[in-house]
Amino acid sequence: MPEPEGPEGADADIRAGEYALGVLEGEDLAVAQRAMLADRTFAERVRWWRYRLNRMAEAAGAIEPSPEVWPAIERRLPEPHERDGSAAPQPLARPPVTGLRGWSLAAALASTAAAAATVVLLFVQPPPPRQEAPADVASAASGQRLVAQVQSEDGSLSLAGLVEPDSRRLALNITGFAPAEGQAAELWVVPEGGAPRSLGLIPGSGAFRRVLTAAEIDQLVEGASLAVTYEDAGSAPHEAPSSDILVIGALSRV
Amino acid sequence: MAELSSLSMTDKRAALASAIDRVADGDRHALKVVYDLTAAKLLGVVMHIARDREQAEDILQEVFLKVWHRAGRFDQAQASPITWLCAIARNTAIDSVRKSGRRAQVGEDVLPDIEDDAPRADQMLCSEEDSELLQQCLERLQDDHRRSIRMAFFRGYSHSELAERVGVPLGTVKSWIRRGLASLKGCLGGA
Repeated sequence: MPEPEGPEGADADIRAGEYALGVLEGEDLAVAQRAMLADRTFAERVRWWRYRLNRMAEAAGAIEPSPEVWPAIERRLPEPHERDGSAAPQPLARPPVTGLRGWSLAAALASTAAAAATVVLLFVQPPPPRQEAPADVASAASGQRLVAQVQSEDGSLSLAGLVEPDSRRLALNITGFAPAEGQAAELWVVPEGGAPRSLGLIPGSGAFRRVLTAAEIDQLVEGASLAVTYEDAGSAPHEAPSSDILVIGALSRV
Repeated sequence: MAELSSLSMTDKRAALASAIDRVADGDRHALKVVYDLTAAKLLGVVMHIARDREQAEDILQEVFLKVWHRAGRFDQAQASPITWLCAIARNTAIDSVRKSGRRAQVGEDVLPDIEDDAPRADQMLCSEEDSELLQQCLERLQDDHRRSIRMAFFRGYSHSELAERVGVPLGTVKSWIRRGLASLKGCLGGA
């Protein structure tokens, strides 16, 4: 990184190194995780460090695994598809490369603003109104509802989210996510200035609704962002995202 | 297997890169090739972190299942194959050890056995220049700085875990790591 390194630049750089090394915790970790999402320069610094630090693994000696390890792996591989030529295994399809790999929050926000109106139409038409329904229009008018609408630059991935704090409901409309086998799409809330927190796994496409906990409601405020990553399905929810953000966009009131 | 081990370093790297490509297309035999080329190296990485042979071999299984599922997303322009594999091995091991909570029980003799067993050139699948440069730069660090960076890397310790293991104040560990990273950055050229 050839920029002139004032104390601040150097400091951010070392902080990126600490993050890449994995020693940060608590508030420092939260700040760094946030920077990973919002600050492209920081994310690039972390990548610089990761690339180099990972070379340290070369210093580990080699240890021959027991002969039973490979057969055990082989047993756990998914059954091969019939080799009729047409059924190529699906799980390994390369995912669409999204324009948001660089985690351009600004771009995501811009598209959110532009698309927010559409989302309202998508979601504010509830199922046939029951007794509680009068809140419908009123709460929208009083600014209680929050929406986020984001899509990848090529449009292949999109997420529309509606949060209703009063009824504690989260509704999503999801398009195009195709996690590899063993992985799943995980939804995150990224508080302004805070670290991402998992909202659990979501389907790769279709409509999804669930009730939110009080703690989740507290996080889902105007200015916080919704984001999606692909994560290991078996161990979700995770403490922090482990892969690139596929889409991210801020919640705004409607 | 015999064929693989007789390959030159450059050929091994090329064989690995092409095998990963084929894994991405769902080729199980290619996964076996990746395994034969790298399993011993990756088990070494995992053992640094898990340190229990049985657990380490379970983790190694997970590593190769992840390789199977993720090969399609590996971008050879972004990282060398072995670096990518080592990163998966390390992260899987750290996650697993954290989950099992085993790490809390491991008695850590202060800053032991990670010390500089210099990697043998014939074991280094990626003997690229920057890998050697990193080793040289690490060797130039002060002992405390180098050891704490190595422990953080191989064991997945956080600042406070390191302080506890090593038995020094948190501020000291933070300072060691910061100064070690700053020296490394300078030595690596920072570009």
